[in-house]
Amino acid sequence: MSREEWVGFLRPSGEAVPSADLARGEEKAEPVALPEVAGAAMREGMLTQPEAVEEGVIAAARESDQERPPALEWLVGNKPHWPAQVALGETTKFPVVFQGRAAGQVTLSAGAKVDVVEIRSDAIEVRFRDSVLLLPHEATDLAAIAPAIRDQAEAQVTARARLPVVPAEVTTAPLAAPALRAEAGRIDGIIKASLVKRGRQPPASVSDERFVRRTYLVATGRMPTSEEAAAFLTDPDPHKRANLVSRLLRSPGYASQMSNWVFDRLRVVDRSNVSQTRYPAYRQWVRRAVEENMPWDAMVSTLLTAQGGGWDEGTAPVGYYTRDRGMPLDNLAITMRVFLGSRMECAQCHNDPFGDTKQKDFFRLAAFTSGQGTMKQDLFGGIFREMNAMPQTSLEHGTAWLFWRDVYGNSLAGGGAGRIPLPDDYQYKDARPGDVVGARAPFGKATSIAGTRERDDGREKMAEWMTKGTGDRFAGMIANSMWKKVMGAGFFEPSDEYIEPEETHDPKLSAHLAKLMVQLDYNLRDYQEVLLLTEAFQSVPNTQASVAVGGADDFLGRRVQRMTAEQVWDSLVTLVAGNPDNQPPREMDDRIYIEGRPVLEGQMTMSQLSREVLAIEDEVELREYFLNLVAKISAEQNGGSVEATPAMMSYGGDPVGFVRVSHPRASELPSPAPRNHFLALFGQSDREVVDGATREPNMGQVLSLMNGFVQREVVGKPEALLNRELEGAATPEEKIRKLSLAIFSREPTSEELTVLAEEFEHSPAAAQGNIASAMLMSAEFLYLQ
Amino acid sequence: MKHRSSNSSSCDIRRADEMTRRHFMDVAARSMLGVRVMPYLGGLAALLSRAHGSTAAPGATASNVIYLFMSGGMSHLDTFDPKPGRKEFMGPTTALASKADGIQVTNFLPNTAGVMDKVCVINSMTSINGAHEHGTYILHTSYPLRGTIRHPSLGAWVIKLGGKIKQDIPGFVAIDTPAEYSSGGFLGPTFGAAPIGDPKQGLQDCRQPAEVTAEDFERRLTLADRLNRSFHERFPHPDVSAYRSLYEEAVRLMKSKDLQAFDLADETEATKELYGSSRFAQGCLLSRRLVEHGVRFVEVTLGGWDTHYDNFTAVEARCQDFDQAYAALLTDLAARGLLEKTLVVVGTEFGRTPEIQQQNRGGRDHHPSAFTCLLAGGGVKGGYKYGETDGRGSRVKSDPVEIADLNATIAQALGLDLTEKIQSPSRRPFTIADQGKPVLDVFA
Repeated sequence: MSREEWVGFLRPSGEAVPSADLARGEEKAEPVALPEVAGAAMREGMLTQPEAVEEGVIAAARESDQERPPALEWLVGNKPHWPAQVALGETTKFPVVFQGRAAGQVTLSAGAKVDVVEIRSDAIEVRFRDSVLLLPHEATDLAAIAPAIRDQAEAQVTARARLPVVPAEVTTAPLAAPALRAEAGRIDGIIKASLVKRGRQPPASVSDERFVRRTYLVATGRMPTSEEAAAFLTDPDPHKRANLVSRLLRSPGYASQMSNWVFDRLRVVDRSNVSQTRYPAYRQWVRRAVEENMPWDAMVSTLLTAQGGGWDEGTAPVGYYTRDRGMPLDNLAITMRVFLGSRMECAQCHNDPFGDTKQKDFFRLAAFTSGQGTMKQDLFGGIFREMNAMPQTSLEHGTAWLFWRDVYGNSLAGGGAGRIPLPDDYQYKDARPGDVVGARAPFGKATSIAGTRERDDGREKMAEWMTKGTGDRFAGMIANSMWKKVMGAGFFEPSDEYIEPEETHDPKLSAHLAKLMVQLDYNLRDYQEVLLLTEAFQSVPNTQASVAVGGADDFLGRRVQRMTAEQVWDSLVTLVAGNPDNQPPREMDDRIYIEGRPVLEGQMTMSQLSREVLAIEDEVELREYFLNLVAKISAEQNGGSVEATPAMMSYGGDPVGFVRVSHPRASELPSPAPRNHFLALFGQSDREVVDGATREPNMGQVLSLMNGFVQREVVGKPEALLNRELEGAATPEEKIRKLSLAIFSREPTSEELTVLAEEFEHSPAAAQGNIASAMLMSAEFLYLQ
Repeated sequence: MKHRSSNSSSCDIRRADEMTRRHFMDVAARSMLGVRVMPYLGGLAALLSRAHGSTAAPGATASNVIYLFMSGGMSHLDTFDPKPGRKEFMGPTTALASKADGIQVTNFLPNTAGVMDKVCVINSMTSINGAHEHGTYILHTSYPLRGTIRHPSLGAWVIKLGGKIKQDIPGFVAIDTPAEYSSGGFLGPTFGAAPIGDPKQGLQDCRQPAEVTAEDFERRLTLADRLNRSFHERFPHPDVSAYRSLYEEAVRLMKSKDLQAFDLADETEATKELYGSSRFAQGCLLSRRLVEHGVRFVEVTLGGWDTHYDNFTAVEARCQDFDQAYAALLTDLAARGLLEKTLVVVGTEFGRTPEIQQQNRGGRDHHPSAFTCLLAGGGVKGGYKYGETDGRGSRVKSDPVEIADLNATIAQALGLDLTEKIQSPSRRPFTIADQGKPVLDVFA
């Protein structure tokens, strides 16, 4: 399907598109008449004509006889991407589009964003990144409302540019959306019914203290500051749990921890450890897609179908393939595992003796993606060989590698040939080595390409099959992964091998959650909000092993789990410097590097270089361009402006400089962190294999907690927030309370108060450090309950 | 603390175990553990200093292992299985005679050529796992990757079956190796490796901070233990107990003179020069120090062998890291009389295709059906070649060795019992090398 240009459709939540509609034959697909809403929008010049819109992909808008409220009228009139028709009703929601699918965001002006607009029975709710604005339905004073909305949205831009983040003035308390609350109730209903059937009682609800810590860790990837914990614990609002969930999911911390998760899934690395190609644009693209809460299916499709130079926003997603340059079969096997839970790695080389995948099936699947390569690299081959032969220290040599590795090496051409030769060592009777086979999907909706001639749309077909033609599989996989992320264990395990709902511990729930994912348009934040609002999330910890197969969630209470490496790090960073949202994010480094040194700073960027080089079609012209660039860099270096020290220290600069000036959270650090970094010690994924992260204890971790980072940067550093906060505390008891709140998010027990107070009597000067160190060494700090 | 009488066995070895256990618990009680005896202690003590030797292969003399893991799939044709004269498969790579008769290496390995008289080359490695994760996993654990269980890595197995050599220093250390492949698996984290992220730094943070007095340090540990008590009672998670054990081990190590083992600064300039300055070289040097100080199993990883793209440039660069360091390691171990008791393994998950992919600037793809691993020291025949590939290096022609066989050979070199079954928590039985058969021919 052509999707890039297609902006704008609406689908009231609660009405999933029937999956039968989604599963229409792909080879037969014909352009159909646009649904009325899109047609209307196009007439108004709001949309670009899509090349072909397939039946069923666009949900028809619901006709509405009701008048639009004036406030909404204003919104509609002022947003270029806003749906042209809306329906009014308590649960009706109007997602805005992002690259062709509902995403929940709209662009107001450069960088400003409104997250969601929801028509409630009592008001129109406009949600921003950090706040919510309620507009009465009967609002007529548009002159007053319009600036409020605009200011609110602009404030987000300003706030991001300046630090710390200042909440805008027009703010009311955020509220969990009623529709999401209702969904949470539905999930709890299903779980309860199935537990009762088994003769079990649903687990009790956790205390506020556990809840606040658990929710911060799950929703923002870090524990709360003592202030945040105290504010929550003393808040008398009966809806405070739902409010907290809603607020945290709209804070930068949410995107930060989700980025860690996505980096793990997609194996996003800053640099290839084989070819040394850098992928800053790809990393930035993924980071932004997460920040903008791009729907999962849209994100996956975009990654699987991307082509181009790889250095600008439109083409950066090619990084998904280019990070595995030269090994498309491995990349494909991983794609099948990550997105569909289908393990086909074995079939790369032989028929899988344990499963039913034949090597030929795998190659027919691979035919969809075959024919990938760099863009026009051959044009540069001769120049490269010539320059590469020059001394390694020469500018020509370095520049040749820059072109080869970072310009051509980042680019991806070939939309998928749809045909592929079988390998030379093919050993089965049904075909001969070297036979060319056409593309065919191994299961799900029949999808194939004859393979009689080379095509260029194989990847699009595969992406469409994967996201829409595999039954509930695609939705079920992500629904389960997100459940695991929020609840600690998936509703099936291992979570990278798909299990049909009927075979899972609670078939009804598994089926329901996959449907919910579709119904929410693969909006991962909304889905997680629903899960966070369930009683299941708020259950007391369970110390018994799960009774479900493979350690899957048995819904009898959350299992105690060590925090992820990123959660431990971000929590310590919080103790050092407070809410890490106040730190600036790491920006993309778009500078040109030769042999590790930035050149032509302020004159040219990598994206510009890539664009210009890849546009050249002729070798003579390319040589001229290359030599001109070398001359330009040479002139710069002779002019003595090569020293890059100031830039190295800027936030936008190289990660090493960035790390030096602050304690950034895990998502802003190099991916993966170096092997001797705290994150690596605590089991961060090396991002070479899928789900490579581990929570396994090792000696390096305990040494670090005893003697390393914790002592150097937290316990032993007077400037650390933890220590600054204690300065005003007058009595030992007050200090102990504050320490307990900061590190455990709870009040100390009376026994702890007694024991720790003795410490102050014994050594008044050292007690504070000793207690803080002991608390950070304790299991209660490391484990998520 | 009162002595507990041993009721399990009266043999000397058991008694040695008991002594160790008492010492262990004394230290534990003094440092941080408080008063309760963890059920775990029995298990740990039982595995300490286990007698072995009865099952060792004839000729085998190893008690330690240095495992050099070539991550990514080392090209056998461009290293230890050259096919001189077959330019179409060799590309620019040429063969080089070595110090051992009838064994050739490639032009990328001039130093290694000089120590091949100490090395047994297994050219007939074969596997069916052509994906990195699967190949690397089975290489380290002997078992195929399954989502439902975490198998222990080889180092963990060796400690489980053979015990530590010294109690105050970790039995298993992994340098630059991902946690996934140096894990204790179902044996538990106390069998996993102590990780080294940068060999130059040694074991990070292993010294008590200067600004913390000895007394305060002890107080911190005691306090942590008190804070932990109720948590441990409420959440008897196996990993929570593992952290307790690791704290004990760490504190013992910090107080031990063997801590010096981790410090490369003690080495002479001449030795440092012998090994070279690359990160891998530092890792090799550190591994020798660790073995000297009684670490039983050290793994050092050298990554970047996944040369789909521009194979020859990349292999040359990897060999630059490998060549000097490997030759130095064998020379140094031999000079110190350590080679006899130290088995030095060079392992990789698979080889690379004889065919050269011109479209990937002379790349080679994964090739599990034939590849090369090396053994040296520990009673293994030097200057010996085991197995052979065909004229293109594509198929194994004679004496195939599967990965589990290689691991069985390593276990046999150490005298470990290949049939000893260890049950996973789910009560399934596993052995150190799965169904692997040791290659006894390689032992002198």
